[in-house]
Amino acid sequence: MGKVLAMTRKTFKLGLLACVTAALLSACGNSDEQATSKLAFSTMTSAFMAKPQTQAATLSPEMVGRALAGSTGPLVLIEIEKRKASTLLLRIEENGPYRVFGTAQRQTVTFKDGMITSTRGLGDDLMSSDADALLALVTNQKEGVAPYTMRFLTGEDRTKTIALTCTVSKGEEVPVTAGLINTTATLMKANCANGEGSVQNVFAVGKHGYVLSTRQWLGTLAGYANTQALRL
Amino acid sequence: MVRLIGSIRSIFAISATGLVFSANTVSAQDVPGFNLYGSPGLVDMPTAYEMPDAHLTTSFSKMGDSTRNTIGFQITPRLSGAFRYSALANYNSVASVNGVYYDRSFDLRYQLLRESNLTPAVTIGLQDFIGTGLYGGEYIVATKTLTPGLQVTGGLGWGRLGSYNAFATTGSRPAELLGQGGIPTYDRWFRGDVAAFGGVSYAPNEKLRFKLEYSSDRYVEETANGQFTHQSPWNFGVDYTFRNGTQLSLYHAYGSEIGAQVTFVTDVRSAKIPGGLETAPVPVRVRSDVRDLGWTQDFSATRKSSYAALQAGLKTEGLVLEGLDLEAEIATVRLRNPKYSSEPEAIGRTARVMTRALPSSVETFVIVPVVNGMPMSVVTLNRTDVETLVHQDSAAILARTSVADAFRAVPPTETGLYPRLSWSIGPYAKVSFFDPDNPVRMDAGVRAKADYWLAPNVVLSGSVTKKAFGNLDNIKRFDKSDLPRVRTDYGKYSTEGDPALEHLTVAAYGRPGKDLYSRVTFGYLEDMYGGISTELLWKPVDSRLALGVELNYVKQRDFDQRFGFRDYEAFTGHASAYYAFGNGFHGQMDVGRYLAGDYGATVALDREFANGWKVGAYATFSNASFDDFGEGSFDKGIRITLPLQWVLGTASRGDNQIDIQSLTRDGGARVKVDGRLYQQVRDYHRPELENEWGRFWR
Repeated sequence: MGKVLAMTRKTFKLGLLACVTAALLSACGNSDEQATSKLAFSTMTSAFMAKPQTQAATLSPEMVGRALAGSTGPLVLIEIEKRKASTLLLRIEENGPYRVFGTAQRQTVTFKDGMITSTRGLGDDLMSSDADALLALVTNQKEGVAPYTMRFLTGEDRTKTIALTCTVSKGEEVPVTAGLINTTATLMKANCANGEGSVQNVFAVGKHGYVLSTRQWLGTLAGYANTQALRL
Repeated sequence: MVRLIGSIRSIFAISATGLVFSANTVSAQDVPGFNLYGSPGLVDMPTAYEMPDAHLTTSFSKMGDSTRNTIGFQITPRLSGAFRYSALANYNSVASVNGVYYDRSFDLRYQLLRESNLTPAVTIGLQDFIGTGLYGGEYIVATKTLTPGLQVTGGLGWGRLGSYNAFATTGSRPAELLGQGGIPTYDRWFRGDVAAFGGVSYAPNEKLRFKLEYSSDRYVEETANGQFTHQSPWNFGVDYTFRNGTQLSLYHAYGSEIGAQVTFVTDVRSAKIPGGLETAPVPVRVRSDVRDLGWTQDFSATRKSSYAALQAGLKTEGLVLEGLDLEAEIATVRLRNPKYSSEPEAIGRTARVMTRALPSSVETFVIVPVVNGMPMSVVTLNRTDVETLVHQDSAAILARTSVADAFRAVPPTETGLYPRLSWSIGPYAKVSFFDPDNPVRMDAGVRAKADYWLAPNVVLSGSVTKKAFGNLDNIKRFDKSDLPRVRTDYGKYSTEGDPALEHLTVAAYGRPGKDLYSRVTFGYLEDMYGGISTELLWKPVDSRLALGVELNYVKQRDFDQRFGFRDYEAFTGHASAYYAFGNGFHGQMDVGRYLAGDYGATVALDREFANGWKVGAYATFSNASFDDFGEGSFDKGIRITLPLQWVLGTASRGDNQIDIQSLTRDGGARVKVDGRLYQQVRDYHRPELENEWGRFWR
């Protein structure tokens, strides 16, 4: 018993010594404040020392095949064009017409009938959107004009609303072959604009009115994202 | 069989012509050029343009023997202010140290007229309007953009800006100081000689700007007491603007000097990554059967499993579950939030975790955030609303959320959580500015800190520093003071306090009644004082007004900052009123007795931003006479709070407060004590929550 205690004390002493030494460079402890300084330190060191991180660019067909085999349930491939990175999204929750998909890095993307309605953890997230009218045109493969609202947070943490008017036009029929999907779809193009600018979203709509693949603008920071359903 | 993203793009065959919305960052064109004073201007003269609202600038300029370091802030779209610390080398004055004369100055500018198609922008400005007035001058200036990039400026100057080639006189300008300096020089404003100044700037593109000006400043003092030679009123400059907004300027001025300047521009309302980079919250789980009450048969087992699930879920979010009241249809969570400076985000994440951890029959979610054992508010949400509104604008759930007072409405802490120890050992740096012997001094070393919560609301707290290196200990300056030396011995504390016991206190917090919060702190309160500090705050949960009383009995500590005391004792305390105006401005007034026994009031006005930035100013007027107070006449300063979340781009409650006091004197001085109530309390009250509510679903 006494021995154990002595050992514990020794370990503690050593730990404390290491901590004091480390304190000159960084910090140690268990306080919230200390966690913050550690975070600040790691951010700083990564900014100054680390090479720019390159995420695994395009996923290989083998990786997708393995993901399909190793999981059940809906699976979507997403690519952020600007970041030249793609990743797999697994459905993790369903809430009425909304399906929440997640990445291994704890980022989520929410779809409604295959259209992205919000994101979390990507940075400058699409906080929410009102897309029902646009979605109705797209999924029914009808041409027309529909309002479309996107919401973001500003740098000041206020909600910023981008209200757009989308002109939807019908394009050609294309084959969609990806993962377990092997079908044809109709391209629906939405040119969404307001006084300040415009974006062009494209949706490949399957026979049952479900959007199988999209190219959607997700905000200033992320830019355009491409998605492809691999298993519905 | 598998086709990948690359092929999706080819399906769409979209050309990348999409015109994308501009980022929050202000384009370089909106930010004006800056003069040597760090104000919107040409080379040495001002222009009528203002910075965009809420922009903070830091500028460092040197022209000949003059060095000027300026912090400027656009307080409202039309009003801006600046603080400057300048050094004049080779200057012959009784106040010079080793030939260098140091001076602090404040400016204010107000844009009277906005620029229109036909009329120019017009701005009125006071330069160095508090203080000894070395740079004292007033102006009215007009600027017009003629064609894109080409701007002309013309103005009238008084004081320093009316010293060259004056063409008229408006009254006489007194030369004597009011008081001991440091009070507004209103007796001089727009009086004396008037001279004209003006200039042209031309920006061929967003990066370059060429400037030519005719200056109405003759540099009288610098010529008489320094080595300045005024050969010409014509000044030339060129600005280069980097992509991040930083401006670099080079000048040739007054026919005899060259100068250079760098100006950093920060929009405190922008962020590198708006909304932050923290990981996604857990998705809301929607119940399939809301009438499932079967679990109530085995209440304790369900409560145990719910608690464990909730605790684990909150831990993943960086939150702490401290207690849970679970009933068939209502669950109350006692929450501690060490992570999110946007409190609604902490509450939103907690509600999400609750949907995944609690039995289906629970329809009402009650979240009680607790700080230092004090329940701050009762936030009540309907689970159905959480389920249905999660994918909508955050305003929808706000309309369905109630925030009530939390007096006696908090579940007890779960056994085993207290006592709790939190400790850290880390580096520290102490910086002192404005000592003429050495304008910037610094100490660095190791600081050990510990907080030991004996109970949720009783904390034993201590902090010790050991210096590794630095030069704070060779402060030789002795400030004369006719008041008790309550603060002016700061140099001795720095010199003798190594190692130093920064504080060692026991504090107890409480909720004595509805809308009431209390604190008692006993021990070594701060580096210079020990004693007892008591505080009572009245703050209704949905009120923008709060009232508080603080009473302290303190004794001055020994210079060595160990356990001994000196002879000086003081009874000091204040009655305070706090008011959030609701438009981003926050005011505070404290009336009472200060450390030196002087009576008076401190007024403070801050502009606060939902992302945690604060920029403000304060002034203390006490019955210590200007003569007793000495140089500066009364205490005043500016303060800037920089949120760590903004710097890191991810959730953190940390921040960094920068206080710039014009002078450290003995009048109007308050005791420093940790854990003052108001800032802790208001975070979870309705006005603050609403302010930051956009992050509820983040």
